[in-house]
Amino acid sequence: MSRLSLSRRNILKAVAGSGVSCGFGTMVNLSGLSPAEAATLAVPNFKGGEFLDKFKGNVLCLPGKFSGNVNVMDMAKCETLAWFPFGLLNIDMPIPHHLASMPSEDATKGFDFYVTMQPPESPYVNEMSPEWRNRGTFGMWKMRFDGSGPQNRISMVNDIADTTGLALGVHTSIGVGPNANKYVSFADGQKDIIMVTTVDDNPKFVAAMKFDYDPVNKQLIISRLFPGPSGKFDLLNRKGCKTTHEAMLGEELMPADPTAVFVDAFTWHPEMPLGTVLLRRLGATPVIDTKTWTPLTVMGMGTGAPDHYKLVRQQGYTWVYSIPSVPTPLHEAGFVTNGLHYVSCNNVLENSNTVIESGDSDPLKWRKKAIIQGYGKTHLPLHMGNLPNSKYVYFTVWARPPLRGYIAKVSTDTWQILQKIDIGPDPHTCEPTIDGKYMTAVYSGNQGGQSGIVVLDVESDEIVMRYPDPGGHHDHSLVPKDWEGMKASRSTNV
Amino acid sequence: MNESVSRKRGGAGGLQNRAALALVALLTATSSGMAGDVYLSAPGNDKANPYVYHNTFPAGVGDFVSSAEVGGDVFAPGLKAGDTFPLDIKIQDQNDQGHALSSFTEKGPLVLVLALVTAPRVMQQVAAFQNFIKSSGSDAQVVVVNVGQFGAALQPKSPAADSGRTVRVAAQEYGITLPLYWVHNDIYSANGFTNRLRARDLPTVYVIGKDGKIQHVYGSVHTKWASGDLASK
Repeated sequence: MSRLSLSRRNILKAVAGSGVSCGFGTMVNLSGLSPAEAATLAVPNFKGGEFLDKFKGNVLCLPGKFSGNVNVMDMAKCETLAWFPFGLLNIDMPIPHHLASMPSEDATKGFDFYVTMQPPESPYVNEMSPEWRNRGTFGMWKMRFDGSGPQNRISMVNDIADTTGLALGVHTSIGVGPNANKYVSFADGQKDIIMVTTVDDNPKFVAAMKFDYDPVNKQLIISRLFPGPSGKFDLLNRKGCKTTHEAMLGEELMPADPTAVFVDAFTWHPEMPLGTVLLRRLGATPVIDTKTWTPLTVMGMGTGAPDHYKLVRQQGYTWVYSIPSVPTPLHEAGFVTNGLHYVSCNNVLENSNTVIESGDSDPLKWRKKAIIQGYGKTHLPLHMGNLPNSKYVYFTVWARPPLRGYIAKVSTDTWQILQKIDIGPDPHTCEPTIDGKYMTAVYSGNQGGQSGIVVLDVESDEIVMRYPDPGGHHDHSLVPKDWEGMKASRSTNV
Repeated sequence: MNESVSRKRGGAGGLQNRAALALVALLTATSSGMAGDVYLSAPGNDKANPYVYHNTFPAGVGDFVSSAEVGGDVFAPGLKAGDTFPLDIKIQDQNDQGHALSSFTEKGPLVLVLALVTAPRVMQQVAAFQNFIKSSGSDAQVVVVNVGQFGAALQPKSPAADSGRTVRVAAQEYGITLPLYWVHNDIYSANGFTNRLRARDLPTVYVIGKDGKIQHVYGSVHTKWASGDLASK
């Protein structure tokens, strides 16, 4: 009785409050105001726009996925600052997939970011028409938002796939710590390849690796890849695909090309010259030395998996590791902002997180520390979000429709789930505001339903803002202010 | 905390939750998005309220398969020679008509090829197997089944209408003239086709006797076919 009454009171209070403020918003005459004032006062529900002042300086970068564009949103103005339709690049059925933003002192004035793209067959394999099989493309672009002039614009700086001859379509992640302002990584689970380039406007190839599973000998084969005599790879568009659609959420058990490992991302250690590769199907994480671009170890994440798989042999640029069993696949993973821990999202079979101590400069000394349980059989941890102070980590937790997902807030002290917050159906990525007081998250309504962006108060766990957004985003980034802030962004985790 | 948010299915709690859900639905239907926020997050209130929505579904809805249900290993050993093949499974033709696998074995031994139309190398290997069948003059009863997970809006229990047509287009693209079927393969479920077989490797070829027993299993590494490979005992 008391539960119901309390909820009802709050609901009625909120309904009444929002009704009043909506009315205020519609009564304001904007015609006599300067453009800047109009932008503030035109925000409905919040008198004078004051409520949004707390988000000043926070800018979101959002890939539109099926809407085919990328847009930049000012959280304080509740306004899209600019948008770029990838049809302008002559792409038939573009699907901007993942992105990562470079830091900017004032993101409203300008910043650079990277976007990757997959063909429509990948994210929409379930609903696709077979006639779409050849539409769209793989690719990576360096983009630039310019808000310094009278007309905001997003422009394409470099077509990195065209520059390197290698097209990849999943996560992109920008180097931090010792790799800050040097490198950006790209990954793809249909080709099982990662590539690293420099971050300048004319990117140079740095390193690439291919990952293959040998199902007979139960081994992981890691190979360095090098461009051909022309200085480029010959792996544009679908060339090199093992599977023509990326394994969807929880689909790691899908039978596939026998060599498939479903590479997902390359993430960066915040304090050391190290990076990790996420291998979804093997539930394993190679740790890469970013000075020599060689694997130092391959870590097992599932229950009962060894901390480090055995290196069977190494010859030239090929490393072979024994993976005798895979207790569970994983999807995303990454380092906590301070670099002391690495956390994996174990998918489907275990629905848990493995916490690994990752503070030692020798990755072979990294060890499992804890397992975060509590997601049950219906929900799996998907994406990870950090805070600048490393006090909590967040995970979006995904469920199959008609169930909804939620966000889990986890203590980095006890490694227990402290709160589960239902933000809407099909939650994806989470990113902190610059001050670390709020966590933003996107949800996409299972590719067609309710979608939006929520803002959580980190300490009270309240949803303090919900931005409507039709994009159905699969990813987003909040533009960090500096390279230190990048450590809490999608550089260290995805 | 975890107990307070666990799913409560049925019973008095379920009735209370449904009543609360109805109230929330009534209020949110006539209000702005702010009321929706209260329903979703219930800040500072009863922590169970955000899960009213989840609690309205019966047990089993949305479950993922567990490790124990697939042998504790993504790559656990699959069915082998001598095991009984699950012939109760229904496969669909390119006109989306269902056929029980038992209807094939009733006619005689069956050579069942698992394939994936979205894996180019797998389909090239199936095409090579087809060449062997034709060149060897084999009269084996061969059926190829696409094991991709088709389903509308990520809901595996709702197959997409285009599945038969998708398979037909793929058959044309890869020149597959062997009968190419598709199966509604719910890989999220322990009862999904390939989870029952514990098959992850493609193509995999099963030779199944009339009695439903598996006589031979060939994985993707078997690329040099000989006439005796498909012989039924």
